[in-house]
Amino acid sequence: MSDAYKKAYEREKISRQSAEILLDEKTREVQANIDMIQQQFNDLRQQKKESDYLLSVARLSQNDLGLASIIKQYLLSTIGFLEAKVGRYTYLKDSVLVIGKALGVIGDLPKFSDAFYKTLYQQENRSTLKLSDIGCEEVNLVMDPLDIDRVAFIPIKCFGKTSTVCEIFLPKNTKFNAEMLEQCLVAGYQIGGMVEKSLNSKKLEMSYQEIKASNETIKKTQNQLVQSEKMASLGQLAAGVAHEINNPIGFVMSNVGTLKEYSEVLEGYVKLANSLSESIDSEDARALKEIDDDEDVAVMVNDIKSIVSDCSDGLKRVKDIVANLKSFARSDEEKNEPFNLNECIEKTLKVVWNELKYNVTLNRHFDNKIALVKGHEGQVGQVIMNMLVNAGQAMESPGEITLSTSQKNEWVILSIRDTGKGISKEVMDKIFDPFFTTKEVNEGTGLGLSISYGIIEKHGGNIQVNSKESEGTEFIITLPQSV
Amino acid sequence: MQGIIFNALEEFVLENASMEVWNNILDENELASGGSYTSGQSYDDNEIDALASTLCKKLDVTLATGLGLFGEFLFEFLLTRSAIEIRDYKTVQELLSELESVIHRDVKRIHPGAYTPLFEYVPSTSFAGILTYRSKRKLCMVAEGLVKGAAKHYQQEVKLDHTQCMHNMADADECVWEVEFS
Repeated sequence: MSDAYKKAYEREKISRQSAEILLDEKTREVQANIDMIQQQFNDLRQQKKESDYLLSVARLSQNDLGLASIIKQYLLSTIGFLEAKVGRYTYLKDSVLVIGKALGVIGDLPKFSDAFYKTLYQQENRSTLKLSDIGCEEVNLVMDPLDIDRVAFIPIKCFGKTSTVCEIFLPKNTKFNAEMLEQCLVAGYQIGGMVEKSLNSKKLEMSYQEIKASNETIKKTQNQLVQSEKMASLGQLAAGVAHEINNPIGFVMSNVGTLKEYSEVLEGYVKLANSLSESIDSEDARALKEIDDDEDVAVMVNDIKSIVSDCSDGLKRVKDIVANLKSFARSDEEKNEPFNLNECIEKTLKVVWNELKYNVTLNRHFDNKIALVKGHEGQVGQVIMNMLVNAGQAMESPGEITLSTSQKNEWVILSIRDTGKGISKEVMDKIFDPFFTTKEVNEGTGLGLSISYGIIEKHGGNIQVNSKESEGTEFIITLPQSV
Repeated sequence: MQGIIFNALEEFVLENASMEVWNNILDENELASGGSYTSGQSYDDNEIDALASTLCKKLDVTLATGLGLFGEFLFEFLLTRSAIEIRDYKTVQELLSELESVIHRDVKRIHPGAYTPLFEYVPSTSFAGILTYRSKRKLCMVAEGLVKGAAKHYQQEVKLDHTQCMHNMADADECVWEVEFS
């Protein structure tokens, strides 16, 4: 029996040794696994830290931050990522170095030498430098108590050039490696991209505003040009018509003058012939008397005088209108000369009265003491004509137009008030806009008030409008008096 | 073969015969391992075949009977001595359904080089099904014994009808049982 147990004991011993070897192997295996897991955990933690850092930098582009804020946020993120104590940024503004405020445990940080910065901004590749190698005593004095011995320089490039450099001050015990610096540089490139984008969008916005303003000016000019062209054509037409009418009017007036003289001679002759026919008894005298009895020659002669006189008056009016038409047509060629606003209104009224007279009662309240106005009389007349035509069209039933002139300090004021339908608030904001019209298609160009506004502005004056719906509208034109 | 199976065989002999018998069995075979078996180690499959044959001769039973009895014993042994945690199943069917996906997967996790046989149980009803066994070792009688041992443990009656055996059919690479539980 003892042999049996001895054998069993020997087997057990071998078996135990084998088990111990196995256990050792397994223990080593487990330890190696634990080490590997620890390493993987550390790597993962580092990776998370890096991705958090890069993500925080990437997120800066999503916020609507200014350039300075982007750089500051980047600096803060980088200080945190590198577990640094303090950092700051420097940048070039019109080739002059600007030192930003330090962020971190201290706010005031002496700068490195100008020569050092000059080299720093010219270098392509930078990494970390020992403070002792830079050799700036003032900086060292501040950093020594904080146990900081190195500084990482991270460039931010804009359009291919280093525009900003971030300085991250690292304590001696910082776990810092080339890979982390690489991450900071990558983030720096991202920031550079953001800065470029921001600058580009600012430029773009400015260009857009300039183009918009230019476009507005072009539009305005184009509108005025269109109107000027139109007016010039109309002027040429009017001048041509006026010229053509002038000649026949001339000889008709001359003939009417002659007719007047002839009618006076004829009146004396008829009187004499009548008295002779009374006193002579002859066949011819009786025939003469018979004609006089039948036709009442004396009345006829009187009528001729009156007709000739009326014709003369009518022709005079035609002559005046033609003269005004010519003056209106010549407006662009006119010189910038002082003129009387009251007279200008009268001349304009003669041109447009035909359009107004059936529907409008005109009230004049002219101040005869107003000063002369300097400018283009024809152009101002065009403005007044526009206002009068508009006023006439605003009245659906017979109404009144009141024209008033007055003087206020150095300004001559014309008020054109009608009793028409008025202007709604919605329309009021647009009445001076080119091509804005409330008239039917083909009835109005929408340029009248826009051109008028331009003309008065060009004369150094202004136009104001007061209106109430269903009651009427008042345009007040203010022009500077001639010096 | 994992050392734990040899440990079980040793325990089986000690329980049913004596240490002397086990010593003799070991002495009668030339074993590369020298007869010392550690549970977590792997040993040559031939050693278990040789030891089982010698044992059956000594007990004067057929190899099939001996292996069947050993299988029955093996279940309880593994349940108490194996490093694999076997959760608290209620029936053999439950255990069989998770044998590959849970238990053998765990064996391979702890002993990456271990070879495990394939058990596949397809239930036809709650109390019946088809069990398939596939192994290069062809220890189908041990497998059958394991099922019986499990049934004893879970206090179930089991009827196994070995409809296909790798030993009887030359081209069969698996054994099949129709199983009924009650």
